[in-house]
Amino acid sequence: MSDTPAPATNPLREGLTMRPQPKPCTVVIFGATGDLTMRKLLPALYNLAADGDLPQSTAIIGFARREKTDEVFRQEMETAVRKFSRQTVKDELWNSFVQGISYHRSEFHDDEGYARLAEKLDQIDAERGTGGRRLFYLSVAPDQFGIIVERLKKYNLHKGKEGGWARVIVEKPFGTNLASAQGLNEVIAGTFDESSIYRIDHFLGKETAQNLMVLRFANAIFEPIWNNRYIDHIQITAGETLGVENRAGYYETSGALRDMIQNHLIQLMTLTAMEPPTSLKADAVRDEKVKVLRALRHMNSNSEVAANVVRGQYVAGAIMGEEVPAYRNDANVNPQSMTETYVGMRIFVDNWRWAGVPFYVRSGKRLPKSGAEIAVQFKCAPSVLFNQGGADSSNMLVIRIQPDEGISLRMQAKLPGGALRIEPVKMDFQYGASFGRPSPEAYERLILDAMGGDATLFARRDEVEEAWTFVDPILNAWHQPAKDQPPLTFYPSGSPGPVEADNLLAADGRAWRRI
Amino acid sequence: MSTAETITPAFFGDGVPAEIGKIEKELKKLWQEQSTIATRASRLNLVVYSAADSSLRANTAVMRELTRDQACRAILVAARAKSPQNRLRAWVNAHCHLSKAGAKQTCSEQIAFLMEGTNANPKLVSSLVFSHLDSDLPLYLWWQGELPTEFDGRLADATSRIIYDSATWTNTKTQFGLVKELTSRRSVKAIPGDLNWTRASSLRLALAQFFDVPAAHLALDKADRLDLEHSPTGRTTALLLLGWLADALGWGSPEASGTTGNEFLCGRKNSTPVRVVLARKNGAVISRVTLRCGEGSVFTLTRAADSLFYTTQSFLSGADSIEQSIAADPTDPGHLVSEELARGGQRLTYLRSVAKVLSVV
Repeated sequence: MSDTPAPATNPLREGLTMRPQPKPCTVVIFGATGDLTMRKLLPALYNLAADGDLPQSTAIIGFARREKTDEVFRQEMETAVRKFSRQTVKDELWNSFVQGISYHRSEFHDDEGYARLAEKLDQIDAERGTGGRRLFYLSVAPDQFGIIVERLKKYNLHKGKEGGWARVIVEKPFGTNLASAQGLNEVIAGTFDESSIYRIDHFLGKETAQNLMVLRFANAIFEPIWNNRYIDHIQITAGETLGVENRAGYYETSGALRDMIQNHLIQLMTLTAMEPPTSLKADAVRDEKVKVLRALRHMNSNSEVAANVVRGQYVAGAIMGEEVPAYRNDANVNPQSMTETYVGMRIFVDNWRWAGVPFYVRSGKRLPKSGAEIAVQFKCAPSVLFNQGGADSSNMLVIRIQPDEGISLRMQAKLPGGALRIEPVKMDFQYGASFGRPSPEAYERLILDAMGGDATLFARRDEVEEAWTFVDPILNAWHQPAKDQPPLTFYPSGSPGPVEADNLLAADGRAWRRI
Repeated sequence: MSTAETITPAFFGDGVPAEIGKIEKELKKLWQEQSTIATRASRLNLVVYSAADSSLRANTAVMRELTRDQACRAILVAARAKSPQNRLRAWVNAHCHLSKAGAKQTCSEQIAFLMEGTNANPKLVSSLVFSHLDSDLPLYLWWQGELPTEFDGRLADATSRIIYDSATWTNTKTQFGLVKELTSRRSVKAIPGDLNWTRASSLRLALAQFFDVPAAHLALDKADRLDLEHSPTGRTTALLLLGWLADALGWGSPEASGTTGNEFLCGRKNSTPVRVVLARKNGAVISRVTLRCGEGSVFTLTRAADSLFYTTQSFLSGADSIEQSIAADPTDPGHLVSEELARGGQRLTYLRSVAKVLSVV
């Protein structure tokens, strides 16, 4: 099809769906033969197509170094989608979807490969009507970001053609510290405007994470008590039973703080703690999140780090009846590794709303259960009528991010009978029970948002850098000479974490929620 | 829909008979007698009214499927006016499904009423319904068949959405008039949910997608002929589709052309009218839509009988054609109602589309 100046909005779109549907574009995946493409990206794109959410003419180009034909790449993608898609693959639909998939072999540093990519994109625009709209997905190691985006700029691919646009999605890890994050930001900002950069954090694409704002701001009962007057503390947890599996190479240079806390859990924390935004526009929401990050109380010395952060590493133990080895005995792990597989920490948000309310944040591998949640512990009712025995009478609101997405509220109730006995009971809302339809995978929502130009669920540059500003002193403390370092603690696999993490809360008269 | 398995313990079956005044008690007994752990779930009350024979059994089967996706309290009301006996009977049961994880059962309660003889009075429906609603949850009313000329005001006022199927109506124009009258009452907040509109949702989406492409979008101005092939029961579906296109593209209301009743002309400002031809053909409800736009630009959507997909094909002047498949709309009532319940919005596009074709339905 020939391309023409962009006309007004398609009149047939009005009222068809509750959300604006993006225009067709070409998605170029760098690192297309990698695990993420097969497990998440292609299944997400297929599911979007199956649900009718993907514009029909959307094209997908896999950009990678390995030699292979379009046909082989398509076959590999079909195998992957059949294995990892949340929906059963229907042949007729796949046969239609696969027509838009092609493979582009090139080294990331090879200029000629980008020249050919530019030609290919123009050809797709002409054939499929993708209108000069290009979404570049960098599913590659961060050290490749600069190499790729500089060549995209060199071949003028960083701008949309003829009324189109060019956007880039960047996968984590987005830096390993503040300096490297700033460096990456500089590199990408040298090619793309901030409004065209989408830093993905798949936790934010999860249904319950999105529901956090709805829970807080669409229900009148929560916001009046969402402050230090009524809330005792908040616990944010992401645990998993798995060890490092085959990611030791990456994990050895990352650890739990960089892998989970700096991005996913701090993002959840900002959504929990932020003030109501003035609108649901991306920058209005992100402005409020940044204010939370700026209000985080920094740990400015090794002793402050030691007092507020516990790092641990799993040793041998058993999970679900199966013995598992210590981290240091995992394949490709340094036998003297000091990498943390667990972090538990106390964080304060020094603003009017949260003054004095600790946020306890923890993430660990080889814990007894996998799951992510936000638990809001309210203050106890006065011990006047019913709570004189010292029992914990506090209410607890738990927002489960995964699995079994939902919300539960613990409250006190009288046990039936003549005696006055009070026990906690739980009101439980489960997405899966009330809404039988499976929620879209996080990547589905996020890719569609990026196509539609909605950056609300993506991290902005200042968010990323502020998060690193908070995390950097902790990393620095851990990398002091051994005698000055806060200690690395150890916990048996299958346990809820190091004893020192329990002590961190016990010192405040509190305890971690049982995972 | 999920692939969860339906669990139907023996005592669920087609329901346990219940005395009218003791229905809640019988429902509680269902839970007490359960040997497995189950979660009762409900996010809405769905009242289904039908005056058709055997509707209770058929609608119970629909609820069994529907509740996989839409946890609700289902209240089925069947009216059998021709029954020699004047009586009112009730049954309770539950539809249970394994959750996706396979570990938990989620159950939706169902109460079924059979109104017979003189008790089969639509005006009595609200008295049954209001005694058995799950508190605080919205009420959705699925009225099967023709809408009554005097709709119970109390029921209408309490309903969040009134669901009906205009494909099943015999006097379509009058019925659309009743919908308009009902939904324009000041006290009524109900949103109209026409299953006949829902059954072409994906079809409209597929047609709209043609014109996301700029060159195709420009061709819309040159539209000069629309052909719609529909099943024997699909004429209203086709007309609603015409109404939607006419409304969105600024065409005038269709005016009959010729004597067959199947040809229409839709006027356009500063241009020749669009010729519309309807053709009846066995197969899918809408088996083919062809929109011609001037010289050489043709947009076609087809659905073979029993196919789960629409195939779309566009020919634009001077360009290669593109053929694609997309998932088609569901046809069975359970999936269709589930789709309807999953949708939000005020249905303004629907109401405008109906208004556009009201003179020719």
